[in-house]
Amino acid sequence: MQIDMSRFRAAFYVEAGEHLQLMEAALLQLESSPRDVELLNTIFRAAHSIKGASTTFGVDEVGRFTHVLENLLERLRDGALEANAPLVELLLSSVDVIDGLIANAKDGAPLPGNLEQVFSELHRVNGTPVADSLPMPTHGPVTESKAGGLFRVHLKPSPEFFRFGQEPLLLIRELSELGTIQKTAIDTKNLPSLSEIHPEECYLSWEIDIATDCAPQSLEDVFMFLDEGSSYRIEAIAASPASAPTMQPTPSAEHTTENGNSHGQRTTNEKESEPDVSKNASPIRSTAATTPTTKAVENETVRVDRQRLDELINQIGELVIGASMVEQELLSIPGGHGLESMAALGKIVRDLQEMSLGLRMVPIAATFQKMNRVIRDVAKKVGKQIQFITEGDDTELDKTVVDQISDPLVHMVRNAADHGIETPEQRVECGKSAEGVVKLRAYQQGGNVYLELKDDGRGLDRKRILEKAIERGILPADSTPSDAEICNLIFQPGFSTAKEVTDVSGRGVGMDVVRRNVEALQGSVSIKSIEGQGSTITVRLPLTLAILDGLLVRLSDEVFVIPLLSVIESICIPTDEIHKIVGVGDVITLRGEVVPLLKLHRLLNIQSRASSDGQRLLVIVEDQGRRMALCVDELLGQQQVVIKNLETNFRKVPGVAGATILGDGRVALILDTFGVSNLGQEDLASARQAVIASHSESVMSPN
Amino acid sequence: MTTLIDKYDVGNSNSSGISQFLTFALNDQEFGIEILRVQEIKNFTRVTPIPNMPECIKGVINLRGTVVPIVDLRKKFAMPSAEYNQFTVIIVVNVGTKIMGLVVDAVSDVLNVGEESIEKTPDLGAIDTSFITGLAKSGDRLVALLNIEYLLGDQFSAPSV
Repeated sequence: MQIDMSRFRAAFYVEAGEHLQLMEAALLQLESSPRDVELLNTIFRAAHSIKGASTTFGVDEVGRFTHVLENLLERLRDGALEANAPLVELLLSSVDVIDGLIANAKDGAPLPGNLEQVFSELHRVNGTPVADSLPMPTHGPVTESKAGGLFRVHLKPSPEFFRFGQEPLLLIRELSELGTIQKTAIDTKNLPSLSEIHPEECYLSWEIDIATDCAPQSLEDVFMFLDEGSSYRIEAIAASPASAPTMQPTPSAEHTTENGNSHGQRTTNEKESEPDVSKNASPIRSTAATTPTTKAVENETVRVDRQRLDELINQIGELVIGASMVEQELLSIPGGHGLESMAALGKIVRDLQEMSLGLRMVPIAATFQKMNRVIRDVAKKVGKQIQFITEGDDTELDKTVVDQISDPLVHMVRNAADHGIETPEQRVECGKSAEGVVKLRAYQQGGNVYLELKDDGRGLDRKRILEKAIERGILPADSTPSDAEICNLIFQPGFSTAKEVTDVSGRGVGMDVVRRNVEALQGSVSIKSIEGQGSTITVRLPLTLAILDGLLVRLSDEVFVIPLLSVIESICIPTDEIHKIVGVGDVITLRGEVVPLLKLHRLLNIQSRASSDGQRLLVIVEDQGRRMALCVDELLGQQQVVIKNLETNFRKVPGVAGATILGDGRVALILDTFGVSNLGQEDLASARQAVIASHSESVMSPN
Repeated sequence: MTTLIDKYDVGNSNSSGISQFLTFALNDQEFGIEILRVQEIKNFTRVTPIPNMPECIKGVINLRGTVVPIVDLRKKFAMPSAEYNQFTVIIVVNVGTKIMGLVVDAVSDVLNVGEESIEKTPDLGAIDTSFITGLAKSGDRLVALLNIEYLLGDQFSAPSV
């Protein structure tokens, strides 16, 4: 039977990543509370899971490395070692090495450079010579005592055994590595007739006698990944004298079933040799089914493929549209039959949509936790004392947003720690406490999530930024920009004011990348800074990328959606209040402020119908602090729309952020205010060109 | 000849070397598309125009929740435009990973063509004929077989300004 291991491997990589994250988090906590047994257990469990899984999936390097690591953890747990700072440091590097090894196995990334060093360091702490450093990964780490003997292993796989990607032969092979298999008996009494057999189900069970020097614990380790329905039992049939007294009979919930299938198939050979012992045999452990129950108390999760989830959410989006189409049709039927039940259905559908969108929401805690490590490493490297505080870890965001915000956030946090916070000496000199504080806060407000990174460091050096900007030619030498403008300069490409380039940051590819990534997520970033007192960077992100609150407007026969977030207000003004200014185009004055007017009909190439009532309907929108007035024919209302990407089947269109499907099944385009203002600029530029061209023509012509 | 078929065939040629093409009419000429490229044929429906696009891009439609761009093949081939009537249909085709709709005058039938009756596109010197993979002869009909990828591939990348 062929198993597609690659599929399971992918799951292993994901899971290993999560275990590593867990380990890292626990290690960081361990620094402050080195005696916390629960933390040590968490770390140990994570390492153990990684070891077991990596061996199963043939990622042996990880298995071997983790094995050594586990030995060390074991001693920590037993209290033989103390979790002091260097040791935690070593363990953290070990986490990195495992991460690197997994990356290596996953997509051939180069092996982590410090592999050898960390490995031998682990051995040194363990007190084991490096020479015997390559133990069989399947060896359980637990018992060193000579607890061997002759064991009988009963293995009763569940019918779904194969579907979980398991294979009895592999288990038996793994067992055989632990000792000599003396006898394997197969029980075929559950095997149905050929006509009833289901090729994917497992009907067999086994009884394996094995002579081994290992402790029964090692035998059990072989079965640690059994699915819930399967059961196994190990009994000693001829324990070695040393280990016999240690066997404790453990009550087993699965006894009846196991006895049911294990009797009646003992071979004569065995009965002759050990008739008494088998009667007294002590079952050591219950089934695999009992282990997960302890976990079930914690947050139980189901792993679902991202694409399937997206498809589900998409389909529910369609359902919403479908339901509103039916509703509209019902409305047009005189008599109002069915409207009531339709309203009830509509409510269910909307609830369903809300729930489906919630499926993709994940708390930002995991990302924040990563920052913890970043701060710690930077602080160690540059010799600073930094206290890192997070707030609002439970704030939920769309998974896509969370995944993509991680890198920019690392940049920001690094910058804060490296540039923002001063060295302890400098801080004391300025009258601050030696320890700097970096605070990362997440909160939700309206349809947005805000991430706020605050440090109490030196703040932005206005003078240097201005000097640099002039030096780089970003600003003319005699310019006098406002304070906010100076602060925003750090988001310019290639702008870094770090006095020296450290290997942590300062290469000038920080903040502009942050801004670009945030904007790609339809968010924005701003900075506030008080010199000498620190900076606050605020990132605004949409809750989700899947839906959008939109203002529906009509332009001739077409419906367009303007993102409600950018809409300030809509007004109606008489046409004679629109002024033409050469080189700027049409403008209006809105409470004393001059606002450019963009004629959407013209920019979007739509036939405009001349309005005769002398009034113009304008929607005032704001994009990155700039206001503009968009000329529309009618406001249709406000609606949540499901965003459809135009690139999926087409390409990016200037001025258009995407499309959506309206209640009547029609497609409406979503306007991109930034793109529209660019279109306006281009239009102006070409108009100016035309003016210049016609002017020079008239000069050239003889009359 | 085999290589020509292999190159553009997506796998519908059976062992006997017969390929199937959906044929349609455009300005009294006949064209063919590999049948496996065709997802469905639907009546012409209202199209939402996309601003500032080449004339041949009619706009987008809602195809059961998917936003699909529509290309008017008459415009694409610089043929005179025609009134849309009850025969006007949209052929929904797969181009690479994307889905597109083609507006044509009318669909005719499915043509079974053996390898031997497909002729190479005549070499017209300076004129680029890469959008035609060959000419299929069937009785007295001559059907131009379209290379959809070549013809529409340029629509997916924004024109460099």
